[in-house]
Amino acid sequence: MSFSRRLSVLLSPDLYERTEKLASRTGRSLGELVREALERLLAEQSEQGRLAAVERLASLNLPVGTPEGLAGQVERGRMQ
Amino acid sequence: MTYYLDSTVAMYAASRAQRYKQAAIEVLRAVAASSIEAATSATAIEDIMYRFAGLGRPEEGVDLADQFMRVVPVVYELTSADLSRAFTLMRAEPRLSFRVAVHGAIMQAHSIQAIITVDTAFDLISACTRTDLATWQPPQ
Repeated sequence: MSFSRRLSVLLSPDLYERTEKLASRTGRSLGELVREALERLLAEQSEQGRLAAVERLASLNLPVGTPEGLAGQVERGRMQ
Repeated sequence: MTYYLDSTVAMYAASRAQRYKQAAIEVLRAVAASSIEAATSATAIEDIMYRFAGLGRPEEGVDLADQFMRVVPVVYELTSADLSRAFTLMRAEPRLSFRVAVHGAIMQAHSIQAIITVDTAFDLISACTRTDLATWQPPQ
């Protein structure tokens, strides 16, 4: 794959330092890490990624009661 | 048309076998496939988090909210202007809870009239057109 487009991104010192440490620890360049992060984000935001999120959500099988009960639980949770 | 999704859509989609579960999943599948446009808000995410924290199960709230935010492309912030709009809604309809008024105010701020929710309290907001999960039909 050829990399013919350049992207300049400003990072906070903290994010830069953490990214640099990860690069050093894993033996990859900063550019590789940024490309990998973008690929992951785009996959997550794709239709396939969002549909997968729906299925993960559906499989949580959480306890949820009646609509009236739900509203009360939200209100009580806010007061705690 | 953009639909506003409140926390009940997320919670029923993630519920154990429940009468609204399948409809909620279908709504979210339609959103994920871009068959319908949808948005939610930080307030809806808070509703999820407060409910599960209140039940002593905050980690389940995190899992649910995280996946919900991956599905719904737009999560609106709450602004001070939204709070002012919520107060106006409450003055017009005293039976309205502050929480529901805030959701209504966020919808107004973004010119959204349609909401998918099982919460009948939204019927108190005249500008809201509520679609119940029990009657929601996927677009043809």
